[in-house]
Amino acid sequence: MPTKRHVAGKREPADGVALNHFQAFLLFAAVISVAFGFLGRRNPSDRVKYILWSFFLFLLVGIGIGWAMFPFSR
Amino acid sequence: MTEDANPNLNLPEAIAEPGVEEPLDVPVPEMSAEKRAMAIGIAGWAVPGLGHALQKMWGRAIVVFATVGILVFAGASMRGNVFTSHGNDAFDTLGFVADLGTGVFYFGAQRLEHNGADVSHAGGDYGTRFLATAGVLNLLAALHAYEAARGRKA
Repeated sequence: MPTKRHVAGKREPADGVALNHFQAFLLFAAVISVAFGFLGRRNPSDRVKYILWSFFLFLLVGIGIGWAMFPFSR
Repeated sequence: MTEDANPNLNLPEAIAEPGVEEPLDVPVPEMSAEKRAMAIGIAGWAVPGLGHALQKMWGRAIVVFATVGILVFAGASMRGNVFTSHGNDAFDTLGFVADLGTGVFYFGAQRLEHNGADVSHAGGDYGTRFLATAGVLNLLAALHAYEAARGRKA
């Protein structure tokens, strides 16, 4: 039997963090890019470039795959 | 003097002769360095960032601790699935191994999820991936710390 929360379609505070798809995607890309940048490069300027480039590629590939799957989503 | 009276009789010549460098000492530091690297790798797995902190790589230590912590906190807060050792199939076992990669944060994730997992929503499914990614990322960082301790360029 669906609960009141499911019928209303809203999250209660007990659910904790409620991110939508794009927010979760951005968080994931940002965190992993920073980790890769610090582990993979030693020079601070190289790290910044790597982080930005990695983040951009995450967005590009993620949105690209999402866009490619859109016709099959219905 | 009889042979039995010589206390160095059964020892290698290099040790028996005073003042001679002991060739047996050469492999000992290598073994200890390898053991130290292994200990650093295990420490890096158990506590994210500790492997780098022990080598005074403070920036990397903070970033590893923070990124793994953020992913675990977000994953558990989104009610992702924290796998246990009592899995039903190989995928559950793989998920448990990945989650266990977060070290002590694994137990923190279990404590954070006082309401249990909820993968009926997309958020819970994302949370499961966040937790697994945190574990694999920490294993990668621990391997990086281990290689750095062995003297590889890192």
